Order: sequence, then C-alpha cells, then structure tokens
Amino acid sequence: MADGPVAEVLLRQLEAADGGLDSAELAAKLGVDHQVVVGAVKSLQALGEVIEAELRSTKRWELTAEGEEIAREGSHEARVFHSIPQEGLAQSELMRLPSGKVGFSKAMSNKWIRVDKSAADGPRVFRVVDSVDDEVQRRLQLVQGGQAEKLGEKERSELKKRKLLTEVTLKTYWVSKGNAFSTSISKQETELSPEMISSGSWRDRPFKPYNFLAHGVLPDGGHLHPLLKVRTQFRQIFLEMGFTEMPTDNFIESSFWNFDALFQPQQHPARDQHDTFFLRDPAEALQLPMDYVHRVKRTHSQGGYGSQGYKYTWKLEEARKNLLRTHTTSASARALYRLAQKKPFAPAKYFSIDRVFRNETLDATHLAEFHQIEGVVADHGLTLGHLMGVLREFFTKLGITQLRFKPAYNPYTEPSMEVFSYHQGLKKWVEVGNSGLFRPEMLLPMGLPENVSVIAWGLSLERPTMIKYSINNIRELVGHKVNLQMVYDSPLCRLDAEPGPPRTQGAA
Amino acid sequence: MPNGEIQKLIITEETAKIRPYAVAAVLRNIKFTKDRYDSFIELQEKLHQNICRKRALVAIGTHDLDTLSGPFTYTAKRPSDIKFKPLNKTKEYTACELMNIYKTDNHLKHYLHIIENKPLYPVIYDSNGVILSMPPIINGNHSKITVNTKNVFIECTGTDFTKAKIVLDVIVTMFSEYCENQFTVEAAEVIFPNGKSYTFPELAYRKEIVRADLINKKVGIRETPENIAKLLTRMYLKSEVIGDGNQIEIEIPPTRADVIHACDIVEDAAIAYGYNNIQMMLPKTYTIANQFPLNKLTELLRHDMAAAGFTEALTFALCSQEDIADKLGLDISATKAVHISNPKTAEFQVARTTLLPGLLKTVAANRKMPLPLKLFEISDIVVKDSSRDVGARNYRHLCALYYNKNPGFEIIHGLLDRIMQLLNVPPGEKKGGYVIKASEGPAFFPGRCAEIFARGQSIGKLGVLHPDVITKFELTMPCSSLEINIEPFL
Repeated sequence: MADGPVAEVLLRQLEAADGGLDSAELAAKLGVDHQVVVGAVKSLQALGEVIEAELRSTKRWELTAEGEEIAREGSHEARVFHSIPQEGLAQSELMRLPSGKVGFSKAMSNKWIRVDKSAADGPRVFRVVDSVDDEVQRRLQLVQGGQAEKLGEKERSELKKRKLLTEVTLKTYWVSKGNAFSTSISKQETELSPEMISSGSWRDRPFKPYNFLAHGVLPDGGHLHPLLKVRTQFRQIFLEMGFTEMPTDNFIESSFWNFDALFQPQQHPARDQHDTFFLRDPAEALQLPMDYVHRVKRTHSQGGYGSQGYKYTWKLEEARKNLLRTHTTSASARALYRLAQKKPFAPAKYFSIDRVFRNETLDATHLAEFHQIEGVVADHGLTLGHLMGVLREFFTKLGITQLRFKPAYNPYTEPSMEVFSYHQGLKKWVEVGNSGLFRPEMLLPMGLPENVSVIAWGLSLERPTMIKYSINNIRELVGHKVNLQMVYDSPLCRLDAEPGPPRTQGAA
Repeated sequence: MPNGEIQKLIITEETAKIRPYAVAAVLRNIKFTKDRYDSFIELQEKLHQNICRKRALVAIGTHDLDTLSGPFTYTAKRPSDIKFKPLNKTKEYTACELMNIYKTDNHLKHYLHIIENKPLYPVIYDSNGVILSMPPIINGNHSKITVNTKNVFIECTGTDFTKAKIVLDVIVTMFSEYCENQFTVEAAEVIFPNGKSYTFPELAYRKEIVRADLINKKVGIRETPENIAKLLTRMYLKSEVIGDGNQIEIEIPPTRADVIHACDIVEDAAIAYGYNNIQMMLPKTYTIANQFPLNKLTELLRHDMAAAGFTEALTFALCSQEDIADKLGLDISATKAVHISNPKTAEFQVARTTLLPGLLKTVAANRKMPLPLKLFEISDIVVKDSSRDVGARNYRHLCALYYNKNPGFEIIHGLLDRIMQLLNVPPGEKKGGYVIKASEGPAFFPGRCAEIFARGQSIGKLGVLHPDVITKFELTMPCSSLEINIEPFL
C-alpha cells in the first residue's frame, strides 16, 4: 500500500502544499473513496517519520433518505396542500394519499387547510390560504448544497427531530511533512530470505517494522478436553497419595451391587424409576454371588452383625434388576468384596473416576450423565479423624486449605459428613464433597474383619471443572453441544494454582 | 377413657391383597391452636413424602373422634360400592368418580396409581357406616379435623408394618405434649383377620449397650465414659455409665427409629462433640498405587492423539436408537445394544454401541468452526454379553473423525498408522502386526472402507462415511472416520 499510487500522489501533493492537507479534501479532489486515502496515510505512517498525521473529527449535517425525498418532492404538508382543489377534498380520500397521514396534521397546525365536519357526504378539507411557502423543502435543499450553517440551530434540531437530518461525524487526517519527508518511497522488505543470507544483501535492505501488537499464528495442534484434563489431575493426586485405581469399566450394574450390597433398602426412593435408569434388555443380572446375597438378605430383613436391620421383606427379583449405575460406589463395593475374600486382610486404598447416570430433572448444571470421583481407605482402626486427615491432604493438593465438616446423611455411611471449603471469589462456604464411614451392615456381610473400618468420600468431576474454567452451562462442557472454541482455548489444568483473570464470557 | 374402653379397629381379610397393615391410637383432650394445627398437617405430609415413600408404604389418616363412633372396621371393597363425601367437597361421590376427579388434582394425582387398578379399594368405616377414609387417597369430610377438635383418632395403613408402627410413634410422641394430660397417649386395639390383637402405639424404647472405647476409637477422640454419656444425652439418647465403668447403656426412644446399629450412636456422639473439634490425623496405611491398565493406556493415547492434531470430545453414553442404527444404515437388532426401560425421551433409549454418532453430533453443533474439524474420543461403549454377570459389558473404543471439503481418507489412514506405531504394532499380518483389508459397511462409501486386523483379530473399521450418514446427521461436508477397540493392546 505504501508504494501504491494514492500514497505517491499524497506525498507529491504534500510537497506542494502549504503546511499540510486534509484527507477528506484530498479524497474529494482525487475522486477516490476517503477510506483509500486513509489507507495510504496509515501505510505511510508505518514507514517511520515520512509524514505526520493528526486525527481530526469534523461534524457535518446530511440529509436522511426521507430528507432527500422531501428536498426533491416537497414536504408532506405542502404536497397535501397542493392536492386539494378549489372545491375541497373529502378527508377520507385525502388520508389515502401517500403523504396524507403525515402531511395532514402538519398542514392543519400550519393553518394551511381546514376541515368542514358538517359537509354533506363526510368531512371535507379546504384550503385556507391561496399558496404556501415550503420552508422545510427550502431548508433541506440548503443543507444538500452544503450550506447547513445558514440554518439556525433551532431549525436544524427541528428537522433532526423529524428524522430528515442527521449529524455525521467525519474522522479525517491532517497530514503534514515529517522529519524524514521524501517523495520517493523505497520498497521495504518484510522477511529475511535464504538468498539474502547467502548474498549478504540483508545488510543494505530496509526492513518493514514488525507489528508486535498483532497476534502470532497459533500452532496447528490438537487439544484435550477440559473435563478430561481435570480428570487427569485428579488421577494424579490419588496416585501421589498411594491410591490404586479400581476397575469401573461397567456402566451396567445390578441393583444388588448398586443398592443392596450397600445396605440401601429396597423401598428406598432412590430405587424409583424416577431417579434410576432401569434396563429393559438385559433386564436382570444372571449371576450373583449367592452366599453373599443370602447374608445381605438377612441383614436387610432381620438384622444381624449388631444391627436391628430394616425389618422388611427382601426380594431377590428386586436385587436382580439391572440398571445404569447411579454411583461408582457399586464398583467400590465390588472391590471391597474382592478384598474381603483375600486372607489375611491387607489394608488398601482405592479410587475411581468414572461416569454415572441419574434419571433426574435436567437443568443448566445437571445432566443425566456425569462423572463421580471416589476415594476409599480400608484399614484397622480408622476413625472420623482419619477421614478428615485424608480429606485435608486431598483438598490441599487442589489448592483448598480451609475445610469445614457438617453432619450429613447417606444410606450406606454412618457417621457421614459434608465437606465445605471457603470460596474466595463467591465469598462463602461451598460444598466440595460428601464422605463417611461405611456402615458395618455393608462391610461385615462381605467378610471384612470386624475391626476394619472403611472411610470413603466422593465429589463430582463436573463441578470443580465448571468453577475452574468459569463455565455456567454444563452442556457447553459435556456432550456434543460442547463449545469447541472453548476446548481449543482452555488453559492447562493446574488445580493448585491461583485462578486466572475472569474470561470474557460467562465469568463465574 | 370416657366409657372405660379403648377404641378398636378391626381389619378384615379383604385388605390382605392390597394394604394389609393398620395401626391406630388416640390423642385425648388435645388443644390445637392455628400453629399447632398447621404443624400437625405438615408433619403428616412430611412423613408421607419420606418414610412413607409417598404414601405407598404407609398412609396416615387423622380424624375428629367426637364425630365418630367406634369400633372401626378396616376393609376393602369394590370401588363402585364405596360412596362418601370426601374432604372439602360438598357432595358424595363413588370411589370410581373420585379416581377421575383427582386425576387433575396436582396434589393427589401422584397417589392414585397405588390402588387405581386393583379390584378392591381400602376403606375404613365407623360403627354407623360413616367412612373415615379411603387410604391412601383421601379422608372423609365427616371426620375432618379443625382447630376446635379435642379428640383425635389416628390410623395408619400400609404395606410395611414396621414403618406404620414407626410413623404412628412419631406422630403421637410429637403431639402428645398438647394433650391436657401432657405426654400421654391413649392406646387403641387393632384386631387382625387371623384374630390376633395388638395394642398401639408400641412406643418401644430400646436399650443398647456400647463400649465407651468403641465410640472413642471410631470417632478419633479420647473422652471419659461419663463425658460420652453426657454427649449422647444431649442428643436425646439418654445414657448412663454402667457395669465396669466402660459400658454405656443408651435408651433409644421410639422417635429415633433411625438408630439401628451402634454406628448410629457413634455418629450422634461425634455430632455432639462437634465434627470441627475432632483432631485430623493421617492414616498410617502404607500402600503402593497401581493404575488400572486400560485407563493407563487411554491416558497415554489421548496425549498423542492431541499431538497428532486431533481435538478431544466427550459425548453422551446414552442416545436414541436411531443414532446407533438407522442413521448408520443398520437395524437396531443387529447392534446388540442395551435398552433402557421407559425412557422419558428418545435421547435415553439405548446405551451407545459406537462412538461415531457422538462425534458426528459434535461436528453438527460446531458447524461455524473453521475446517477441517479433526475430533477424537477414547471412551466406553456398551453391548450385551451373556458371559458377564449382569449380561452386558463395556469396551474401550478409540474413534476419530476428519471433516473437511475433502474426505481425507489418507489422513485418517495416516492416523491409524501413527496409532499402531505408538502401540508398537508393526505393519504386516505376521508377527502380531496389523493390516487393513478392503471391506464394506452401510455407514461407509462403497470402495472407501477397510477393516483393520491386528494381532490376529478384527479391531474395527475406517473409511469415508456414506453420504446418507452425513446427511442424516445434518452435515454437509465429506467425512472419514476410524473406530477401533483398544482392549486387545493391553
């Protein structure tokens, strides 16, 4: 552009000019669009101090499209006046004319016309004066001719109110000679090339200044999904704490492992169709460990292992019903059962992060599928204090150090605790997880020794991810309606780092 | 008791098939105020929602005893034979009519299913044939309780005897304080069809003995037995130290039906102590961690897929039958898919048997993004498998898509070559290598489809997608894909 024809003409004009020139005037003189001149000015500016350009703002009055029409054809009220013959015109007919509605009221207030309401065949409009002076048209024509300053301010604002005039701001440049002014522009190099290196010609060439304010070209790589980046970090935290990953590659589970083995009674509302996805096919689990099943049945219906039990009739068909697992605690139950079969007992620490399914009401933060994080420690003599200790270490790795605990209820843990942390941004305590000691009615039928306690805790993967990446609607994060640009742009998942500046959209 | 005898409720055998259990009691000379009355109604509603499992297990009926005369009969009759003026209505209706009327009642419509299709409906009469209630739906207007009611007859019917007794216990213990004779309740006798007679409420107090050191050990505190007894008593579990000074005897009142094991007592002790006062300790459990091999492999592959220029998606495991069959040119019966019962919408009909539809839908939802779109997902699909205990299993699949103005078969093919390189699987059929052979499939463009064989088995297919598939997923550009099972590479 700097070596374009307009730029060269501008430089020559500037040489001849006294002091400087206006870009809009030059554009009019050359018969080119103003933006072309602006482009030339900018590219000359990039060369260094060849020119000086000062941005100026001028205001101009221009006619709107309607204003132009009126300047041509006359104002609506004048047209109304001229369409009324000597004998007058029926008002209904007048109103049907193109300028009728608008012009009628104005012509009335100008006292150019009058209405005779008592006329025989409906109200009739008559001229009051013989001729009129179409001031509005005259004024608009003045503006059209570039003489807007001849109108008083009151007259101008009146026309502006009627939407016939607008004030247009024009940004122009006042261009003057710079320190390095010259009418010849040498072509500037943009890049070093192999030929320049081998010939050494780079020493004699001027190089175009690099625009450090522009963005670079983003590398063409792939991207990992933000939720799964968070999952990777949680896996890492568990592994660092010595937790072994449980197998959870089974979305389909039987009611037995999902509920009964966890001492959740068969009449519990969570086992309702409304909360759980039951299966039509395959509808029932084919195999269950029957010895264990009998012990579970007895504990539910009659008690035992120090418990009163629930005292209801436990049914095998209910336990066989297949479903999409509602929590990964069923996988923990399977893992603990396997652990219990190994003698002698060896302490264990397990974790899992995988998908679970709930048939609940869906909204901006709830979907039918989400990911649950679960941690389990099985050992002799574990206490509530130990559970809190493990939670403190776990959450510290997430950058959360202030924790509080509140009593809670779960069908399969007792005592149970809700875990809260203080959120700096929201300035309040928010729930970050649920935890407890598994009930003896769950552990003892498995065959675990009596003085072995199992502490466990869980949280969802989606919630901390949405907070970390400032996402308000879960559908933008999980599922096919994901915002791919968000996936491309999302930063590294550093769970213990300070939160970054708020994103431009959807700040938490 | 006015005439010296307690109220009687006789259960007939007709109730056995529909709602066999009933319990009853009387609150005598009770003084209601507006607040107490509202609270009385609210307690019944709360109990109905929770322990009564939305009236299915137990339903509560409370009546103004002075408008009735015992003994009462709890029986079951044909709907057309039941006619009464229900609560807050002005005329009599038969049970059939009521079932219809309440279909549009926002509150009661949820309970109709409990008895709707049964041949006989439960109903309670007094000795004059006045209907007290038709559980679990609605009480009669005749015995309606008002603020001025002085004597209340409570009946709970249901399918769970234990819960019915608990519910009755809760109501009478909560409201007996408003009786003239405070904290007393008048018993009622219930006679079952087999002639057995019971008196209610049971108000069973249970005693449990727990060792103080057990509580200390489970919570992680060091309190004296006396202090622990004090803590528990504060939680309304009256306790005292007995025996050798280490045992605590705890009296569990009928209002604490949730206490069924010592661990429930442990929790109450911890709550009284204050969770945030407990000292945090780290378990001394020493363990070496292991990754689940399939997840370890997945993590390694994910990173290199992104390095290869593909972007990771996370799609839903549940979808419509169409998504995994019709739209891919298949019949649903050929897919061995797992079907969900009573799905609310088509989106929850089946569990996915392939990752492809999810990725195609992701492209469709991101049409405005610059081309090419290169997506991948490494996640589980589900199929029926009778060799598994539940009859179904997951497989870990890897699926990749290339969507652009040109199909890019060579790019997807190149991706497969790269994956095999990463998995250390050499090209060539021999020595546990991999090879692709021309194949066909309804989802693929003829002549542009291949099946992949590695380590002696077919692990999946790759190819250019058939235009029908592209249009059925509301896409417009050519597209090629690759989907393999990665479990053989463990």
